Amino acid sequence: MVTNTVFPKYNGVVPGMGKRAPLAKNTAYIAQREQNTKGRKTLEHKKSLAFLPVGEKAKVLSVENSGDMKRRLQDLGVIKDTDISCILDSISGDIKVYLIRGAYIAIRKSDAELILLK
Amino acid sequence: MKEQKYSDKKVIALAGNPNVGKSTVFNALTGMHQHTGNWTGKTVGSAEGRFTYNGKEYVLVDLPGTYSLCTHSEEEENAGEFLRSRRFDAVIVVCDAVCLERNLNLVLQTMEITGNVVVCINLLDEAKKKGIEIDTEKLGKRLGVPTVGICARTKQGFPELLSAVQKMSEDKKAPKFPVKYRENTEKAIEILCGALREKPVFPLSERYIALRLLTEPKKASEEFKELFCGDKLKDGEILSALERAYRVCGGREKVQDDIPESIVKTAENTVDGVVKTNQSKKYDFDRKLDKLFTSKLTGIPIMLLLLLLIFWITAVGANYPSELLQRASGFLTQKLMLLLTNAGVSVWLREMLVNGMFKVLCWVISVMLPPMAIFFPLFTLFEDFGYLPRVAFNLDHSFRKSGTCGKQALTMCMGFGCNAVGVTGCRIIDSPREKLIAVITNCLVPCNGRFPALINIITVFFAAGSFGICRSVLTAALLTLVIVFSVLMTFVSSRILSKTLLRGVPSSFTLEMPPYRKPQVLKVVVRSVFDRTLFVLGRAAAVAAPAGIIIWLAANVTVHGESLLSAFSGALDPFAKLIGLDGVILTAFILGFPANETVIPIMIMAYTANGTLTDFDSLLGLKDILICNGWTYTTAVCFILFSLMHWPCSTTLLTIKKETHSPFWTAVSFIFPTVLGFIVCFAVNLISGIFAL
Repeated sequence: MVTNTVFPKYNGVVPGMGKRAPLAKNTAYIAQREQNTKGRKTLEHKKSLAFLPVGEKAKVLSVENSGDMKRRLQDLGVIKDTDISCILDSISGDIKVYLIRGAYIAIRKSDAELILLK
Repeated sequence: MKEQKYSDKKVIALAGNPNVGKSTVFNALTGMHQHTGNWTGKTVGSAEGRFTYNGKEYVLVDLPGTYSLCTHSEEEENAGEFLRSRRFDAVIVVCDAVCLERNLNLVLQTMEITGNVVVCINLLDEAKKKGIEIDTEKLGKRLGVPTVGICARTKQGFPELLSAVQKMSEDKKAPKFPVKYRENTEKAIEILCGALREKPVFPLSERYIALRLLTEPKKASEEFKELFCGDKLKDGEILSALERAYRVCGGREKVQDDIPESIVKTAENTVDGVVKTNQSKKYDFDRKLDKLFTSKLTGIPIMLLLLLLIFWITAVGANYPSELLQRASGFLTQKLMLLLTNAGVSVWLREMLVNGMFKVLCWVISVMLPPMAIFFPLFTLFEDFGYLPRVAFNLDHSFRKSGTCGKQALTMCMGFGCNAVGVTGCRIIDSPREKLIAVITNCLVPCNGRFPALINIITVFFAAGSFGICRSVLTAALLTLVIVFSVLMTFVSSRILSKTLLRGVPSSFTLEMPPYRKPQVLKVVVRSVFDRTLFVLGRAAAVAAPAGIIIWLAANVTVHGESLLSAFSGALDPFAKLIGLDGVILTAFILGFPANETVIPIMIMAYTANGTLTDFDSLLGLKDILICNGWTYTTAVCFILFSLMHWPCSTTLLTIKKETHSPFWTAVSFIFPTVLGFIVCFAVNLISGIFAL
């Protein structure tokens, strides 16, 4: 599903993560794919979970997190086509609560940025 | 995990997601009293108990909660290890009716290990409130294992559960494999199975071992080396089969993604048609409470207010029982003295036993027991209600900035009750680095043993002017301030540690928000008070009484005209004065190493030169003793600060050793808070000296 929300521009570094966590291999792949379409930079309009407002629902497109976090998310049921909705925001905005398959799970913004939505 | 051989008894394991009610089921069946609390990670380690059904005795093992059997945290590893070792006759997988789909993840994984599975769907009452209906029979047919719906709180459904368990534990059943993976993955499994088939029979089915090798080759090879003799994996054949398998299915990552995804999809399909949700029943109350507890405006104030409330109730409620106990102990002391005199016991022995041991014993009980017996039940009620994960949610940002995660808030809260319990609770933190930080900083939060000392000093020095309700509110407010300070110090220390000794990045973090549950107030209060009373009495007898004897001896045995105690405290005095204390206080802290509750009695005994606890029937008496010995406001402040930041007590230190398996980190957790305490007290002393306070 294409929406008007522009996925924030990045140069291979996911915003909010800086030099901290290692980048998932697949995000680089996406950036490459975006740049390679006929030499034009077409920013595919994608939403990430971090930008899902409170009270809204969406379907997961892909889980780009790496390693342990990906396993943890899969254990909690976050895979392609999973329904997910944002329930609660925190004081700092750094972590939010999401409804995933009947359970309320708190996920940090930096991890949610790597969960792409349709 | 201890290996127990129960040749005649059937061993039943209790597995399931965190916070689904395994411990409640355990308590209900065994009559034991595992502490249950409404947050994920309450049960750490495993517990064993027994129950009888139809004349047969069973052993029940309560495993910690796991979301899956692929290892993440230490707890999940333990649970997975236990299940893979097949040291049981049947497994009860407890599921949450409200999010059955996700819970089935674990059920399906368990079914790949063993066929002796009973699926137990708990929390049916909560599901009903949300309009969720589950057709347990249909689910049982689809899965092929007995499925029972229960409500552990009310023990509803237990007869069916027990009969299903009995049937299932009779003989070993082969595992069913309800999950069909993608074509490529299945091909890979075939290849591996082929290679494994040539080897002798394993206790686990080949298909499961193949799956395990595909997902976690390194860990799997470790495990299988232990379980079976000989290195099946060093065997070139299996390694090359693994390489072939990976090539067939398009790479290792694809397999490692596909396996969990297929499990989730299978769970989704299984639940389709079995779970009916009545959308019209929208239960919003939980979310409204969540907003209240975590919003910008009300989140933190409510946290502070609740803390204040707990302390106020503790301080006020403990007053009267403390006084009663003190009067009773005064009475008993006299009677004991009389008894011993009449029995012809020599003077020094009499003195030692009564004025040394007995008085300290009575002091500790009368001062420690009432606050503990009030604080713990109150805290447990909050736990059961489900408030703690919201605290962790609120504080995650600050913890993240300090280099750790919100789960440290939970271990910190546990540390309020007892630092040793807090240290054990650090197992819920996945990342070893963050776990260590949580362990080291745990004793910066005052435990129940330190509260009475803090309350006393605060009341005596800072709230003495006011009376009645004003005084108790002021005391509670100041205590809250002290606690907030210790929390801030936890942030600071965590930050320091994560920049120096324990460098690294913040790890993967998710936290489940459980629904709010009404705590069973009467049950909790009664059980908690009873438990705490026993605990305090036990500790008093084991630690306070010997401490009393030792102090009396140290105070009365003279060498070169000076008692050992005053010689020792005299030697420490110059250093202690630097940090705003004096030799006696420092000695009291040192001698209070076995248990923090003995610090004030030791201090008082040392001050009253003949080494006895003179009776002071009001706190003003305490103030007199302290002021006569040179206490100022600075001393009081430094005492409070040092009480927060000094070495952990002996129990905690032993627990740290046990949890970290490392003398180095145990030493660090001894030195770090101490040095911190020295620095802070020194700074305070210096500043107050400059301003001539």
